[in-house]
Amino acid sequence: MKNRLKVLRAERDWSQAELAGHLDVSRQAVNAIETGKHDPSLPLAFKIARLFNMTIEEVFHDEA
Amino acid sequence: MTKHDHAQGFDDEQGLSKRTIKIVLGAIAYLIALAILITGESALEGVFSGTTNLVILLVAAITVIVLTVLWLKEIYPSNDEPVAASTRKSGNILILSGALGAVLAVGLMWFGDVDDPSQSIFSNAAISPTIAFVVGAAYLIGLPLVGWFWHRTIDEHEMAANQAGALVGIYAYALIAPLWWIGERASLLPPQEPMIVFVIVMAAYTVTWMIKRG
Repeated sequence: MKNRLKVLRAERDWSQAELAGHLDVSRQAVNAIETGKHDPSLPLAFKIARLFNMTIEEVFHDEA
Repeated sequence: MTKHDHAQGFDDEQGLSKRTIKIVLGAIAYLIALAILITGESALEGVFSGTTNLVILLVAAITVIVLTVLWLKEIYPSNDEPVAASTRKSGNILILSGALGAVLAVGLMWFGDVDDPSQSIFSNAAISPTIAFVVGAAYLIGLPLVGWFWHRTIDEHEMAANQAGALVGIYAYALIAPLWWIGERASLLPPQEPMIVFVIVMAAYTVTWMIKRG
């Protein structure tokens, strides 16, 4: 699954660690999501979307 | 480097190098433990000379200390980078579990065999029932308790890495234990050593966990 997390984070001048702090996950978790190595659960996806005032579909999209 | 550069400059590259260092150091620690266990009854004595013993133990000690420092720097970074509360908590629990293991190991060495402390921890030499009961009880209570707290604090990515490690670990056990048993029955392999199997399984788990965790 692809996502715009890296772009959204850069727009806010946040480091991975800062974003991780907002989401209460590890920096490694943010990195894994950004690079597509880990697909977040629905609750975390909602949390990410809410943090950026977006819908899940605006942050994440299917690779197909 | 501006804050924006920092956001753009991917922490993942830095993370990768740190991860590589951790994996290499972890592998060294496991290999030392395995080498010592494989020497069996003779443990550090006989197989290695006195000086070599000292060097091996020194390398093992330095490896563990460096790993601990790297771990602490991740939980308590010096550059004021924020660390999520759950991440810090789960890291602290891991350090606590490491401390528990160290206390048990030192206790076993100290009280297990007064003539040669290294025999108590690195061999199958006899120990007193009292020390076996104390160390066994501490392990029996400590491990599930620490594990329970840790699993309650880790995030979903850590949990996924842990599950991948557990899967590889169980496959490692499913391969090693029966194959060694068959080999032993055919007199192709020496009698099965549970602690060697344990170290290999834990190494398989840890390496997978660290790779997946990043």
